[in-house]
Amino acid sequence: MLGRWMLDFWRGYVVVSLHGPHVPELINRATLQGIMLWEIRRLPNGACSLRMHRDDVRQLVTLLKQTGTKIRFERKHGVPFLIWRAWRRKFFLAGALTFCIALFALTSMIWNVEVQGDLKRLSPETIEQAASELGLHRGTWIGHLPDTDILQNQMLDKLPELSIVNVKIHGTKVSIEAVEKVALVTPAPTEPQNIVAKTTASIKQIFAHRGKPLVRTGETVHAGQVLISGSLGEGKKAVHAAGVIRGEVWYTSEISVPLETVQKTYTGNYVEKQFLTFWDYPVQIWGYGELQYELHEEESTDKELSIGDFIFPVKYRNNIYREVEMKKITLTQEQAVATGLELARADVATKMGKSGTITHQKVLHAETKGGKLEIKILNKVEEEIGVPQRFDPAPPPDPNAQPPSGAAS
Amino acid sequence: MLEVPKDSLLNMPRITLIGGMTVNVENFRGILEFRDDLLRLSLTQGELNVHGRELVIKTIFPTEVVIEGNIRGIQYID
Repeated sequence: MLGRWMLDFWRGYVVVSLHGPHVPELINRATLQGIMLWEIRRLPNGACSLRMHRDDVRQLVTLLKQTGTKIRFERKHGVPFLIWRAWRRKFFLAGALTFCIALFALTSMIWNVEVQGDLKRLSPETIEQAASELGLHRGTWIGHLPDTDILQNQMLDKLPELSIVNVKIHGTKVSIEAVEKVALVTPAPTEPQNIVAKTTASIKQIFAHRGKPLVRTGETVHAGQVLISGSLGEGKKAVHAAGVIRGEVWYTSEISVPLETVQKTYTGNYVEKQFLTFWDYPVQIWGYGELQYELHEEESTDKELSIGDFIFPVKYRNNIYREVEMKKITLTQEQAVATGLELARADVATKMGKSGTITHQKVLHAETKGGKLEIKILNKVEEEIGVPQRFDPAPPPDPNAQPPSGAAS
Repeated sequence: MLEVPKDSLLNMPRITLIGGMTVNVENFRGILEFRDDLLRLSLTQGELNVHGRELVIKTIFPTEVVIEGNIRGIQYID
């Protein structure tokens, strides 16, 4: 019975009411012609209500004329009518479909990658970078990702500093929990070494942690001179000498400072223009008008719109035009010297070690030549001068060694 | 003589009554009159009157009809 109803629903059927004196005759003829009728009942107003298939209505029309019966369609049921109704609302349906597709698409890609865990040696950015190389980044289709345990193993291969990686995908969010390996304690180095001077200097401080200091405070040492010896007891024992030795080192800088310079300054005035660029072709959308500035600098920032790896060819571009003024500056002798000292400090900073400090600066010679101040400056710097140098210790006398002569028996 | 059912041999009408609700008529010739309380069917010989209330023709085929409703009586007229 249900199967029958489903079949009727698929074909589509109508509920009609018939008015007229010859309705039983009409029903007889229709039945003989093979038209299926069902649920025939009398209505209180004398009309007759019945159900028939949609595609049989055409055949019935001639019979209606012959019997002089009037027909009224009451209700329409079935798939063909549903399709027809849907077609009338096709734009609404298209919208609904678009919404469903968009919802499906947006929920089946990754939007967030979150790194958790107490990380000391690796930065979360490093882990994010590694994850991104494996495909765990915004815009990836979740369906295209391998299993999380495969991802975890790949992460561990990429980052050997990690001991555990836990990758979880919650909807559109990926959370990566990482645990670092405990760092191994590196054993103290034992190979024999001396501490030697890297440059000529006068010793200011000396702290020997291990080894025998060979110099004193105030002494002048030359490059390569041993400061702390790792050889103890006249070569009987060799140790890994270590210590801090600070000395005063002299650096001379020869600097030439131009007395007249042209300086570029911003006046603070600027004009903004906005563009939309279509495949590198800019179309201005805002900020019309001629630039009034004699000199200007252009600063351009582009904003791109992208979904996953796809970048839209349409970009938003904001240009800022800043007014620029060129100013001529003439330095006095004092100002030029001050500039020279400043430049010398920067020059020395690149030469000396990190631990160094400039203690004193002295102008040795200054001369104006062709609009420039030629200046020679002595910089006194206190810095760490010791560098390690390995040495091969003399082999200690072997207590078990046989005397070279008369031992063989 | 061979015992053959008469209805299958001579196109005789066969009327099945299920409870007081459904009448199944085979080998009929058409509807003569259809009212809420009376249904007159034409047979090969004579006619059949079905009395009742809220009579509904459930399905109708060229030689068979199924009637439902509160059936009060069936009258066979030769």
